[in-house]
Amino acid sequence: MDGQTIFAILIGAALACFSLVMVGYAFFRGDSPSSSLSPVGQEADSPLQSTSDDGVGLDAIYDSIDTLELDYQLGNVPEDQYREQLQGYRLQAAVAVKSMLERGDAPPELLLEQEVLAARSSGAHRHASLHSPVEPVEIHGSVEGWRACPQCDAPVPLDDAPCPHCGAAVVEVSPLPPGEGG
Amino acid sequence: MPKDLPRTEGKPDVGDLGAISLWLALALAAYSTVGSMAGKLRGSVALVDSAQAAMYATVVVLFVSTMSLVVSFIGRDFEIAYVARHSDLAMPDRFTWVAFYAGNEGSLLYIAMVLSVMAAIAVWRAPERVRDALPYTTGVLMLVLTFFLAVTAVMANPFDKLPFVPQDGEGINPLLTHFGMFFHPPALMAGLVGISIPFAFALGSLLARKTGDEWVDPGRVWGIITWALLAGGLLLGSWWAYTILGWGGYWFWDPVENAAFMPWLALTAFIHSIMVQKRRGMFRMWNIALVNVAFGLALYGMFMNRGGSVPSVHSFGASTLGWVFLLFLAVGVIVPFVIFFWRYPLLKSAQNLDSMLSREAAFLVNNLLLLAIAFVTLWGTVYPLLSRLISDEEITVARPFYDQVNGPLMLGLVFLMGVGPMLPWRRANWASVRRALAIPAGVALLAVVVLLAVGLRKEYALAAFGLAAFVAAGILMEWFRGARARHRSSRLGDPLQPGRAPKGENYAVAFLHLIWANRPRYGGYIVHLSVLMVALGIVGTSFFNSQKDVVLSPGETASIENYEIKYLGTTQVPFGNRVEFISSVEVYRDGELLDTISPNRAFYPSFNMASTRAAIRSTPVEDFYVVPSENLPDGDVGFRILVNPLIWWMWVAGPVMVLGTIIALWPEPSRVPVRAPARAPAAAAT
Repeated sequence: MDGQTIFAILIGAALACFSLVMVGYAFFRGDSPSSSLSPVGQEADSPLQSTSDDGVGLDAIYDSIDTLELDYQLGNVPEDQYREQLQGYRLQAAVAVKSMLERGDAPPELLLEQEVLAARSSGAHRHASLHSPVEPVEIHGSVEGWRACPQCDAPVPLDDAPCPHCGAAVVEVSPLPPGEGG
Repeated sequence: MPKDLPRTEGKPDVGDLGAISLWLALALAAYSTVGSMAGKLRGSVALVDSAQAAMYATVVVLFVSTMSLVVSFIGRDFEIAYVARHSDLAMPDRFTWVAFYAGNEGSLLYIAMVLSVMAAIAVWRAPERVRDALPYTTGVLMLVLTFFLAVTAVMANPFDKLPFVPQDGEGINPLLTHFGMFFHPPALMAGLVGISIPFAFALGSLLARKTGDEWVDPGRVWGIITWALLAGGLLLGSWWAYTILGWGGYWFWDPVENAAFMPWLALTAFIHSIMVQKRRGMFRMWNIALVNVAFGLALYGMFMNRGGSVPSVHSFGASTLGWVFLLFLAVGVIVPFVIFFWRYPLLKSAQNLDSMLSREAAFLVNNLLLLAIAFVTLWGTVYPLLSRLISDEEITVARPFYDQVNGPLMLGLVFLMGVGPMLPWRRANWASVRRALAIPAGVALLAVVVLLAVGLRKEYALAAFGLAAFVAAGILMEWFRGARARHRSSRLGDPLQPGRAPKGENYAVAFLHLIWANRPRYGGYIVHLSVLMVALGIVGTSFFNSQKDVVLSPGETASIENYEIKYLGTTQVPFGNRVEFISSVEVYRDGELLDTISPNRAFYPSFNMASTRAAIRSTPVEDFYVVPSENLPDGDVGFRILVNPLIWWMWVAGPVMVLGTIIALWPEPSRVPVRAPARAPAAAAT
């Protein structure tokens, strides 16, 4: 056996050892459940990729809103369709946010945002009762406990009377009972 | 005359190391396949982790194997049969890279290396959402890799040794000693095998019952990467054929060319329709079916390239691997579709098509046209085989068939390239569409009128130029409107940040910011422009080129259109492995000397073949192309002379397409989860 063959065998053996260590490490490392399916160096996904009930991710909804706004600016979408579609996307996003909150996988930023909104909402209540009450704005329609504020288009929970974003008092108009119509 | 350096003494013998590491890589890939699948099925975290580690180890081990072959080439280790067959002492070292994949064995090792690297990156960078399906994805990728490694190790081992050590090798195929060969085959092979990545994400998701949109992001990114690799490979291959094959064309509808073209078409459809799934949660079944089709066509391409029944200048001659690849093709087509139909009931789209006048609908029509072109091309490719099976008579389908059937379909595609981006998602109305298309349609009409006025009467060419003008005008108009909107809003200031001073972007800055802020969209537009450039080249050379074959003695002249050439003489220059016949030709246009060019023809005794190098005087308007087709004993030379209008645009399209792809794929910054409220409640209440 000449020196070159020995060289090849030695390097080959080193490679085999390296491979064995790589393959065997997982069995001797002990429990680390998260590492098995989340590869080394992988970034955690943005929670924005959580999906709404119809399966479309929040990130995709925001992308769609961006695209819609660009198309509107470029004149490819008329104003009425722009408003209608924007409203639809915002409600879709609200549903996605709501399902994130319900599942408890909302990111810290979103939780903080919710606390701020809640604080503002209570502040708006106090402010409205002590000073000049905001004229209630009537809206029609909602998506699973959420609705869009007609003044600023922000998603508003149904149980949150004034819009936490702009302060407009939002009331939902229920269909009138039979016989009470004018 | 270049020096022939003796390279056989003191050479490192790393062939054994290459062979050992190849077998080790095969074992690791096989283990990774089984371990990933079994680990997932049994719920064994350790086994899945171990299988994934094996996948990463495969990259290292295959790298050693690859480098062993490279070192063997550099050391001209002719004991290794593959090195002896594809290099010789006279081969310049820079062609080592080309010689590496010049034959079946080396190219299979190259494919395995590329696939292992791509698979490792894809799994490493895979988003969290595909985590549940990742073991299956890894398993599928490693199964494909195992196939290639098994074929390489068992049937086409590049480290097999000869029973004796020859003094010199046979040398590299002369046709491969071209700059384009440094990129064309590796890009095409990487593109073909790279389709495995989006395919594996799709199949992994199906196996894991993740039938939503989890796999869409990695599928889209890897779909675009492999699409760009295939497109670049096809363009470079066309350029190579144009400059070296000596017939003056660049695309022959050769079966192997078609075999690379078809998966590119399917991928083009896929990278469009996957956007619909990403945005709207639609086309879920369609996208999985498309990526399966693309993978099947890629396998077909590899089969054609390695022992398919039709010989080609692009294939590895005398390959006996055809039946193995045919078997793999059958498995690779049937099994994914069985899994697809198994999961079919779960593949319900989240949304329905709101309107046929929408971007989604435009993408759907685009997909149908692309698949129609792929089907026509497939039909033309397999027709000789079918005719032989049915009637014992082989009927070959040639260029007129493809031109007549695919030509109108391609025009339809170009039209959609102009209309689709103007349509909004979900729904458009006729009034807004008319308004958006008015200017591009006006520009197209103007272009046609001008072309008619200058005497152009070819209907197809008129339609093609008109449609190109339509698309280009639409894109430029979008750029202008977007830049203008940014310019205006930057002068007014940001309404959400009233305290901040207006930025005052000028149009150039506004345009760059526009592209940067909407990278996928505007990167796509740039790619569309590159497609238009290719279309210009195709139309120019298909409808307006001129060709002349002449035999000239020194001092004689020949003319074509407004050009004239004067043949001055030929010089013979011997090299180690060839004799070059370099002709000197003066080119005149309208009687004025433009240039002196030197087309040449080289004869390679060891291959008993000649290779040509065309002399091309290239401008954006037209190429003037001269290639020596024959060197006669009395000093006369047969020349083929061509004037190819607009072909320059085709070669420029390559870098433009790469630029557009990079912009489209450049990662977007992470979003702020919830947008800031516009106003404080107190301010609104007062």
